[in-house]
Amino acid sequence: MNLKSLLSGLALAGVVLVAGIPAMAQDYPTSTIQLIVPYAPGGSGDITARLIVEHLSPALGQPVVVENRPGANGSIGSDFVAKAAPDGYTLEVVVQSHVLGKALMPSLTYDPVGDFEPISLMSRTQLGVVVPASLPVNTLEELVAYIKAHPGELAFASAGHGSNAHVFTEWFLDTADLDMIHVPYAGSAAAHPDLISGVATMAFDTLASVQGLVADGRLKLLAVAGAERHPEFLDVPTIAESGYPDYDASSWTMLLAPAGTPEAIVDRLNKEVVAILSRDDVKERLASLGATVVASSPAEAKATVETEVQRYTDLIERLGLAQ
Amino acid sequence: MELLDNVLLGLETAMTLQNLFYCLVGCLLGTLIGVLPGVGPTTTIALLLPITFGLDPSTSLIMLAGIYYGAQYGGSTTAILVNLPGEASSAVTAIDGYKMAQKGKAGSALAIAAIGSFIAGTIATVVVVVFSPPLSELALRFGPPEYFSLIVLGLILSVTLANGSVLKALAMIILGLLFGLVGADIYTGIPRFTFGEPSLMDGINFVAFATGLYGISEILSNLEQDPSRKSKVSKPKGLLPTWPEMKRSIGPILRGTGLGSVMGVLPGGGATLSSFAAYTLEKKLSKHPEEFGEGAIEGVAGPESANNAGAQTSFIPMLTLGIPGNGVMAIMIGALMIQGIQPGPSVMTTNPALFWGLIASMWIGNVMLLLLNLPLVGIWVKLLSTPYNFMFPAIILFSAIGIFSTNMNGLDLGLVAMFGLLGYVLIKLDCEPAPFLMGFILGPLLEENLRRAMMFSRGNPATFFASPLSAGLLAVAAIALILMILPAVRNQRQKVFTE
Repeated sequence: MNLKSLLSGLALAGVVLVAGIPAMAQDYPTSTIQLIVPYAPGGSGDITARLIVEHLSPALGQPVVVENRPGANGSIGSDFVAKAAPDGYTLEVVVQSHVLGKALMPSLTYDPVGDFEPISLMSRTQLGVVVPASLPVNTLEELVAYIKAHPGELAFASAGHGSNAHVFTEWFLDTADLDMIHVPYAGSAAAHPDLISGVATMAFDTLASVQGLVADGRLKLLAVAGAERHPEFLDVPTIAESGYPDYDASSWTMLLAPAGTPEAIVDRLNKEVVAILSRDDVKERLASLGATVVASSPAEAKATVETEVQRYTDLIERLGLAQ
Repeated sequence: MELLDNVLLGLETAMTLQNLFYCLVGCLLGTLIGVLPGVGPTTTIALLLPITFGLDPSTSLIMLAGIYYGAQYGGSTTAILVNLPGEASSAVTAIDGYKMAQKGKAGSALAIAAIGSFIAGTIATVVVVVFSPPLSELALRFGPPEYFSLIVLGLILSVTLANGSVLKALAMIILGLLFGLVGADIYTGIPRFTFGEPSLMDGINFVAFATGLYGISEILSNLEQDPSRKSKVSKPKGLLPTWPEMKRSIGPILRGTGLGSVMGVLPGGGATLSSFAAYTLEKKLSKHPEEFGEGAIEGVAGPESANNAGAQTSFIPMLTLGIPGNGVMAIMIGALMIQGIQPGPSVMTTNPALFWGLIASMWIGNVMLLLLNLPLVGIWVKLLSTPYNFMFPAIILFSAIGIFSTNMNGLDLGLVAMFGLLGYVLIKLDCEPAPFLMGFILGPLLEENLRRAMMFSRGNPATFFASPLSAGLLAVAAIALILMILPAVRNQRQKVFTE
């Protein structure tokens, strides 16, 4: 064996080696993909995941199976995904509270930023400020004045300690310099009876969940928390418009893979998911749940996670909301 | 007459071939998952949600509702046959139902459960039609202090679930309350008694708790005897209840229906409480209270009827206010929203066919379930004659699969084993599981509402006496406690005097 053939052999091996990686990604997927939903069945993350899977399986030519691993605010399922092999066969759908986890629970066994490879944002959900119909206020300004007139006497309800509704409300109270008591419930709907009867004075809740009660005149919707007005409630201003320009809070759902998943696989998944999200029937289904489709690139999704982790970690530390 | 028109519209919607078919599918599925230990209606309905996207809204709701009340029928089957209550409400049925089965009267117990559920379901459907608006206002009158007082009353009444000493029953309730503390504190998020195990953050899994405490401990104590014997169960004596048994049951069925219809409206555990309340009521009213716990048919008829009536009227807050009373309702609201229908009072006017169709389908579903369950009684009773050394591994296997598949969590299986052992020790100590279970279920609700009421009142306990509803419930609880303790004190004094 002379030097030349050895060199060409090495070169060939190099070509095969280099070609091998994209070949693997090109073949992807060759078996069933597990999509972890770290919440109980029936929530917005779960329904969104199932809506996407309906179209993702045929697009990838392999079954995508949704598996619920609920518990501890999504941290059990996320921990499982963070430790899974980064081969594209274990994926996860999370909601916005994913970025709150580490700040609220420093004992968390994974890093919401470093342990995951975001694939795409999928949808955004608006929360709104609702008050009982009996409360003598009709705008956000009047509500702020009313709360200021009763410092520390009024209570706001939330979907639970550390839920995004809780953290968003605390952010608003901090921005507007208000003092209220926090009364958490097991989920937002559990708070509705006390909110309707006026025992609780205010809550941040998803528009989809309060829409019926607002239409029926049992609750008043004073403002929405996101950057833009909601198409269904064009006459309701945003919090930012009402004198707090830096305030912009909304919930979202995102598709993630474990950190270290090959870029080619992430890009392939991103391409398929973005295509699914542009379908009219998917848009309609998500709209009926009060969500707006927001497809994004993996980089944009990563930037969203990083910005929000930074913002809410600062807020949670400053307000002392962590355990 | 408007009401009649509405009912006719409902029947018209529910009686289409497609809706009848999906109603039957729902009832069948519900019965099946009710019988399978561990798998509950919430999970099933959530998993079937995507299938309903393609269906008409009324059809999908009719099917999902069928699963829900079908599971109420099926859940009592395992409670009666093998002492495995899949849900909190059927834990009460297990007390006397399982004893009846051991005495060879499984047929009567199952049949009376089905008949009672049917009568309750029929009456509760009428209640939903006629009394929806006032009952939904009642649900809104229940704030944190009222819930707290209701739960205190429930806890005190649960002493009557036990046959033995009042002291042991109280001890069991408190033990249950303590186990209920496990998990994240909902007001601060701080983990309590979780030993660093994240899967305990949401508390101890109820199905693992009940399966261990009832099913596994019963198997352990059965295995003390020779496992090769055929079965501990006496030979079945007929599949249908006798006429005297029917006569004894009719009162409990009607009273249970009344209790269940009213309490089912309360979101968050009303339907569960109603089956416990019905048992207590029957035991108090009975001329033979000593038969309770030994296989009294009233102890099956009352709670089963209350449970089913409550399951039916728990639709009221969802249909009239858009407020889900339990996990199943929350998912159904999701199902409606995905179809573009906003649940709430407007449904009645904007989608009358859906609203009345669902109500009519409830009654049709109840007829189907009765027709489905009565013939099944024979099959179930035959299953009981399986030799025990085949039966008990099968019970353990199916329970384990069911419980594991719900959360994919190995710890739940460890909990089943642990509560099985604990239950066995409790049997040896003559401590009964029902008050233990009651404390476990009500403990977290008690704490949640106590603390919530105190937060709203800024720490002033007068809030519990401020509303007549809350004060009244507390007064009844106090009277019940005194009545319970007095005989014990009197006996004690007599003992002292005779000595």
